[in-house]
Amino acid sequence: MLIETEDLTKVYPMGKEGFAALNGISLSIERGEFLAVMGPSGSGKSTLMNIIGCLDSPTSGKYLLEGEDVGAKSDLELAGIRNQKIGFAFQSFNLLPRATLIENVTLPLSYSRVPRRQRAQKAEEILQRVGLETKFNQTPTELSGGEQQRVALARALVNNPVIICADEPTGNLDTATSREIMEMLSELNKDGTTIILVTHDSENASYAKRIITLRDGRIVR
Amino acid sequence: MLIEYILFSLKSLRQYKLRAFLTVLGVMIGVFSIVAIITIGQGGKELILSELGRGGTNLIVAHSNQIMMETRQDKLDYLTEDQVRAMKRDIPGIEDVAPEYFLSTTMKVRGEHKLIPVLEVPANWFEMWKLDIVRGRIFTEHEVKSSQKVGIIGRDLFNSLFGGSKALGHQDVEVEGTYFRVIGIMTYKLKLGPWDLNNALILPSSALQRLLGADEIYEVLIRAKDGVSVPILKERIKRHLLKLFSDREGWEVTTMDEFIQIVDKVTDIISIVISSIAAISLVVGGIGIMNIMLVTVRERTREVGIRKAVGATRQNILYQFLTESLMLCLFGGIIGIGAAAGVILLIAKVMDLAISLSGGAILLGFTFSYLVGIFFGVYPAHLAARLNPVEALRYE
Repeated sequence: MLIETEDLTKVYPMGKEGFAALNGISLSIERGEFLAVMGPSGSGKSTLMNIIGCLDSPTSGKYLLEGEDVGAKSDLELAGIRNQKIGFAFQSFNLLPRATLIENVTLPLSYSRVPRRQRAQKAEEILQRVGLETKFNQTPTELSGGEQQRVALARALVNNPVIICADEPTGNLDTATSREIMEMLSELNKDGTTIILVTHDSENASYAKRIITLRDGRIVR
Repeated sequence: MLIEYILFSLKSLRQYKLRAFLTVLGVMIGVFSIVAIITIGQGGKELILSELGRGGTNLIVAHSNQIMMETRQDKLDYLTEDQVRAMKRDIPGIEDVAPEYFLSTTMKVRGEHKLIPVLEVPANWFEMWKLDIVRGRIFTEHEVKSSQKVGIIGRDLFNSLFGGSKALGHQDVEVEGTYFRVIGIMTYKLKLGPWDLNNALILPSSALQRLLGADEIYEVLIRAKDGVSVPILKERIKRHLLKLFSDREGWEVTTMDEFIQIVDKVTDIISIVISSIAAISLVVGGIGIMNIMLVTVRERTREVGIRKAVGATRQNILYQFLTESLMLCLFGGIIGIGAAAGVILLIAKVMDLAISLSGGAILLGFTFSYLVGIFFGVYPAHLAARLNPVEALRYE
């Protein structure tokens, strides 16, 4: 099993009781799955994805990634996991606006011990794979939304992650471009990468092999 | 990784060049002042000490301090030439004495009437004081005794009166109606104060004094015999003078060592006071750095989130922002040191001082900028490193 969670909760301090974004999530995800997490806004989809992506930690509960207890990891180890095993794609792309595409894509490599000479080469390969071979030295602000998301995917892929966490990756894109991105994720999944997709769009969810739906921090389906 | 930090910092600094420059001004001024003050202070002090010490440390100056203080007494205590000669005879341990007469005269220099200091000394004075004669010679004992009308002139005064290159032997200077033939040109590196010897005249003792009909000596230069304790000799001279002037403390006796100590102390105090002001400007500069780094961290919250999402550790973020504040300070430091080097060069040229920027001063400048960068950069960098990645990514 790639991911196993047991009774995950996440409570944000708010008012007297606090706000429970996650309310006991137990979930298993196998290697190579394409999982869509659906649900209305505020249902805890993003919170779950952030915890699975090791960006956030649960208030209680257990999270095993490749059999290892993530809760017991130090900040340093979590950074290593994010760097080596997880790739993110966000609704707002989250690229460095003034850095070139090459610089954006090599960013994860600069935090792993990849020799400098290999970095640009690797980044170029990946950018070619997502069809941006003519724009290496442009900056994200010069690109369309779809192209920016492809850069973000390239950055997510550059360290050969085990899991891609995509949080509403098509939320800012038109239908045609959305399809392109979804096709791309689908392709990646076929090549063996586990995909966790947070979306409230059922058309996007239809690319997934499994769909779970959250409501008020619980899995309802 | 260090190269990454530097590259990242350069990239981000380039995005706010003007802001970075303005921020760095404080550090720049601080480093500039410290480097310049230390260099000039040190050079100036060495110069004063070497000029004061040129006659050796066995020199003692006795002078009537009433000249300066205008006491209630109607009569100043002065010595006569006979009394000065008697000092050498009566006080054991004195190798040589030389009376110094200080006068002044007005001279027409380049069409302007100027007050020129005139020093009258015996021939042995030169041997005691070891003044630099750049051309010509000093006067002989015979010339002094026979009241020859010869004189030694400061280089600057000679140049303005006669132009620099002419051969000696034909120039006369007129002092109070009497003409003196210039036989030597002297220089003295200390150009400060009213007694700038480069613009003065040295005449054989009593040449003018006798003309003016006065034989009043208010300052005597004394050299101790080799092996005689200078402080003990000083006490003997003091007692001798007290006896001479019926216990009135009108004369002050100071050894060259004491002069040197005074200069030492005064220059140290000046250095410390100005350095403290420079240190304050460094602190103010540091606060500016901290302020700008806090703004930068806030502006780049999202960037921190992105970096953390792709694997940056807290330490990575800390070092990155610390590198940035360090680079700011080092830029400031380099400009400050450069400016100091320029000013020092200028001062050295204009004032004809042998000072130059030392490796130690440069190192000190860098050390200060480094310390300011670290000290005032740590807190903002720490704030950035501590950011929660999820919140940072959501930051608009």
